[in-house]
Amino acid sequence: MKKRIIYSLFIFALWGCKEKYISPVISPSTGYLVVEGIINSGVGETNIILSRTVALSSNAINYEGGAKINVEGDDNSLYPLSEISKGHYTASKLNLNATKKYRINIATLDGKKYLSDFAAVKSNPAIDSINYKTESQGLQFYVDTHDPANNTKYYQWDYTETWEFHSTYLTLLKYKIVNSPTKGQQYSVVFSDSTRFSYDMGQYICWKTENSSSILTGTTATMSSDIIHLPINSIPPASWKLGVLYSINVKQYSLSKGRYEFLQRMKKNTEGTGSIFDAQPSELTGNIHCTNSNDPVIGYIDVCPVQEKRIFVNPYQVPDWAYWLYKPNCTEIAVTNNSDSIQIKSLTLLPTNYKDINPMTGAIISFYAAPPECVDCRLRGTNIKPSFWK
Amino acid sequence: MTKLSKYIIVLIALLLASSSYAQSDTSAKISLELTNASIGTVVSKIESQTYFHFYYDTSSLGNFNISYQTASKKITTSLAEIFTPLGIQFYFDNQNNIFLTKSKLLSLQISDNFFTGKKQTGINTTKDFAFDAEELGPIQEALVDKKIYEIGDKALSGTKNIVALAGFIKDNKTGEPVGGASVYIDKPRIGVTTDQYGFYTISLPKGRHLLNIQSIGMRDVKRQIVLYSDGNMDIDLQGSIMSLKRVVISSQKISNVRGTQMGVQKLDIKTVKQVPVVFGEADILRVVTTLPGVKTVGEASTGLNVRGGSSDQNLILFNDATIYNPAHFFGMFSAFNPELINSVELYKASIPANYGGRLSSVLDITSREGNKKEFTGSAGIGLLTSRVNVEGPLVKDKSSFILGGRTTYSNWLFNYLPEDYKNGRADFYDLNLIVNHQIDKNNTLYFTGYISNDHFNLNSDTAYGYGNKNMSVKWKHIYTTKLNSLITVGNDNYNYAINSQKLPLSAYQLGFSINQSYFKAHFNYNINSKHSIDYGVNSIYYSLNPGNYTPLGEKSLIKPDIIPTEQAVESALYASEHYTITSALKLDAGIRFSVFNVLGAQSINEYPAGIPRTEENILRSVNYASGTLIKTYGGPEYRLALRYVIDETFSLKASYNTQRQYIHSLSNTTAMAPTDVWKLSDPNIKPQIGDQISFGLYKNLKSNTIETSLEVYYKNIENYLDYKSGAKLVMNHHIETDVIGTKGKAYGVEFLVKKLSGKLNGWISYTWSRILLRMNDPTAGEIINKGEFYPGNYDKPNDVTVIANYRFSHRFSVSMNGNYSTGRPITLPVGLFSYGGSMRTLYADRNAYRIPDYFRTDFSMNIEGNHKVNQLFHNSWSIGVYNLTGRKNPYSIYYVSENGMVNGYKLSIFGNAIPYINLNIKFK
Repeated sequence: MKKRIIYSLFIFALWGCKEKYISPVISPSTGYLVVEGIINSGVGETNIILSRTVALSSNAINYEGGAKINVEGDDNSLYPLSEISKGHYTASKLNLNATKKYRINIATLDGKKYLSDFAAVKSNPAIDSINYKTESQGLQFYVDTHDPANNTKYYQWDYTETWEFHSTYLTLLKYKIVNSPTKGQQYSVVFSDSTRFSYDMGQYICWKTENSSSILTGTTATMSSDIIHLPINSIPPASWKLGVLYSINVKQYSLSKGRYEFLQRMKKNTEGTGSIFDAQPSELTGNIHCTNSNDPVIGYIDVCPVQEKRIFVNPYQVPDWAYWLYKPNCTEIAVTNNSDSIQIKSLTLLPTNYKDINPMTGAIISFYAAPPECVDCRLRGTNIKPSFWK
Repeated sequence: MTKLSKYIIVLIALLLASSSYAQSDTSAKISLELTNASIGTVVSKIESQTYFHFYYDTSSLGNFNISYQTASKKITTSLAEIFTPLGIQFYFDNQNNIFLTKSKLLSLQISDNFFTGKKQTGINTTKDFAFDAEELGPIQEALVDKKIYEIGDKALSGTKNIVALAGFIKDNKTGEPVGGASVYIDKPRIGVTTDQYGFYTISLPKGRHLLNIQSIGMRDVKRQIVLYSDGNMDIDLQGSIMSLKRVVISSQKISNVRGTQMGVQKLDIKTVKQVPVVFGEADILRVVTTLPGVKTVGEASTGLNVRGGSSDQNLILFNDATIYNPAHFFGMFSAFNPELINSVELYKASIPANYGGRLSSVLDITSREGNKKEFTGSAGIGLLTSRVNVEGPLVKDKSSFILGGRTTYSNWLFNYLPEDYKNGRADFYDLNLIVNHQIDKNNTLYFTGYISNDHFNLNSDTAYGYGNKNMSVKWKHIYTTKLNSLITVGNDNYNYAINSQKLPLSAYQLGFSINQSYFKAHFNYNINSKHSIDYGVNSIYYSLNPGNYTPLGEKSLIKPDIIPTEQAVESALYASEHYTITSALKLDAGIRFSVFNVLGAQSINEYPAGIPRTEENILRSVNYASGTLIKTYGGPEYRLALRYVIDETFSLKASYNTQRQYIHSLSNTTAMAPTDVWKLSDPNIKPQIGDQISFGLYKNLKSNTIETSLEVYYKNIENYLDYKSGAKLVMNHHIETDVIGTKGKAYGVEFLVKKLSGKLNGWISYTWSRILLRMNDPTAGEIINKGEFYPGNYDKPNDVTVIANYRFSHRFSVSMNGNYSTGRPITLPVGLFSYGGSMRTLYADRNAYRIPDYFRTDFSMNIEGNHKVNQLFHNSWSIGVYNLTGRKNPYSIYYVSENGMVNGYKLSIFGNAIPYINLNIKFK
């Protein structure tokens, strides 16, 4: 035991040393244009997001609205994008000519004009499969792709996860508030539905969607054949993501070497930091330039057909998946159905089911209540079923 | 007290004194201001200013009220002035003892055969010697060892007036050579120091001299010699550690004032061991970083930055072998076993002409030689490492070996780490074998073998390994007493390997290695007392394997990628002259002409002039056949040093020196990482050129027990390699496209106060310095920070270090050190943007901000076991606390995108006070 204490002391000393840091430096408001996206030469949508860099203390996205964006071909073809929400510009089914080169032309509201370098349309093989394996850190998803022509070499992926989840408790009940002129607000619990015993499934079954937030790239430039098998995402054990049904949709882009290096540098600067032997952060320069001023621009535009693949996984398909380990912190308490009891005990809770009921009148005498997130799934997701859901 | 007891005291003192040839130095000066003082007061005042110890009996002397004033008068004169009027006699013996008595004058001298009982032949005994008899007065006879050594052949009465004396200085207990000992005569002042093999050669006028030999940790020795012609004399010194319960130091250890070299720091291993370090491992490189002008980027880095130089600009030599990676355990420990080290010398400014190839400094680490008399050993047990050393004679008094090894058992550490690090592993070892053999009086052979190896795997599936392998054979040959040579051949190897096996399709192994074979011939010719020259030739053949990227396992689809090896020969011819112009003015002037030949087989990319070098701009790639000469660089390097002595304790020095460096380490990490690649100069990568001018003031205080120095320097660096944004340095076939040559300038002031003796010893150093780089050539590609000067990664303007040891007794001492420095420069984000589903940081100017300042104090206690000479085991403990205040010194500040948000973190390597305990055992 004594040994252990010494060791622990020692290790604590060695590694217990990462602290939050808030920079005392007041950063300038840079406001450089950030162009995110890729020109989809295939049938899918081309999505370009415009935003501005913000001060270090801000952490909120400053979207750039009102800009005019066109995809231009070296054959003088022109494809305008339309703004669907602030800073989000889209065009669909461009079906570009694979033998031509394309670029993007942006005119912002402040009169600045931006052009990317012309880029050739890069072929992009279809995704062979999205597969998974249980590993120590949970369920690991892999993407498998190969290019028989051996010339794609640089890849990028992003993904969208969607999962169905259920509330811990079904609910039959809801609060009813009556404004009494003498007693003020009076609370009681009643059946949600006049048919009395139908559960409110709209609070029970929900879906949650999340986008990837890290840059995923891969290369076969150092390999003898263009075959990819790379981890893209993992679900930790006992995660609520794999409680009912989980789906992941992976989009694959093929990249030029320039865009690959641009993304690698961004990844190193912003995700790969924190070790003892960190590389020093470096400036990012892409292939977009401001044509009427020296303003720096962040972004790198490439052209390729975007490939997509979606898979579904339920917990029973995964061998040894310890889905029962997911234990939300949910307990019910019993409350007497009168305004005072409700106000004291359950105003921060939601009613689930009745406990005692008056057999004569059918009135609820007492009921169970639980924390809202255990009852109403809409607090954590949406109850609108996605169109692609099985 | 009776007369009898007084005689007993005297007799004991004599017995103690007889064990050495040491000689009291009666020229020490004292200052006194006494009014109505007792004899006791007088004695204690004198004892506090000198190294003399008084023996007297108060009852027999009587009580006196003494009033006396003097400033800086010789002790003999003062004593005579004080005590003669009182009717008290005083006597010196040769052990720095003074005896006071009212009785008749005693002769304290003993004849040479008093103890041995046999009459020695061939040595004359005489009574007069080269001292100022008038000044010494009646006590003359008690002063000097009576033995007179006659050297040379009387019959050889040539015309030469100046003759050479040479020999080895050795430790009489272990037979090890004593390097760095000073050998000198006072009238006229002529002095030399021994080299690392304990060898000296000195030119003296014919005739009688009093030869002084002094070395730190050794008793001073004086020899009366009569020189007839060139001759040899080996001298044994006695360690002063176990002698008496007082520290013997000399008032003449003033080599820092008298030497011509500046910007040189020498540490012996005893000093190194006193300084508390993390986990209690005595660490040479850590202690070197406490010296003025030496910095390191952080705690997990043993990369040294000397006077604004980068960590690859230091030539780290271990017995002449170049150590490319001097660190263990990803930078926590240095790769040198402290038990085998004799001394460490750091040259920052006047680098001797026999060294070259690096811009900033030479760190010369020399090992001990094994015990030539008996088998001994030592072992150390610490929290993380253990070590064992064995040494002993191979042929008694002729040859010896020393074998030492260290290993770690730090893997347990990872089992207690958070989940992320559970699978981490780190281990290392190093092995040293040092053998020396004295063939005959004029020929000695030295063999050094060194291997170190590290493996670690932190939290990823990637494993790292690196190692040094070095071997050298040296032959020291003495032609005449004036000319000797040192021929060295050897081979150095450094390699690292990285492998990753997690994904079978892309499992790989990456290997890198440098191999160099070298030949060095160094000659020292001692012309006369005014001139001595060193000359020689060096040649290094490099073979550098810049990267082998190969598949690992059968499933791996990794395409083997092998960057062809680079070959080159670096040669140099040098000569330097040490010229004593007058006794006050001394000049060291050296020139080194270095040549670097880039050799085939290699393919070299050619780029058009005037536009940035990029992969797209490669004009063509030229293949050179094996052995063809591709490119030659070269030029003279000047080494000048001048010293002017103003008085015994005060001197001025100036130096100018130029350096060329043909091998570069490329790194875009702040710390020196084990995976940094090295690159030889080629037609696209020019050699780095540096020149430095420095000026210094040296003053010793308090009878030379306190050394102070002030040095100022200014340095220019050309073609210093910095990397372009987003540079790829590993497995790059055209690395010249990712690096840029920058210009650098470094300047600073270094201040040092050092007290290396006495109960309280240590040093205080303060450095103010800058290192600024600039890249403003638009044709080179990228302009950094708009072409302005920007601070280098290790630009820490203010740096203060205090090292203090207090010895309570011979068995117990405490040490404390403190370090404060400005935080190092860092590139901090200037803004944020959203990309790829996450907020991300925006970076602009390089190194525009600084991390918070650094402050740390450490404390340690050293407890020695008893000092009985004949016991089998000697134990010692060191117990301490690293980072006593527990300050979380930031190593770095970084921002990372996590779950879509940007978070800033401050990373400290040692965020708490770290206690440690170490046990050392010596056995024989």
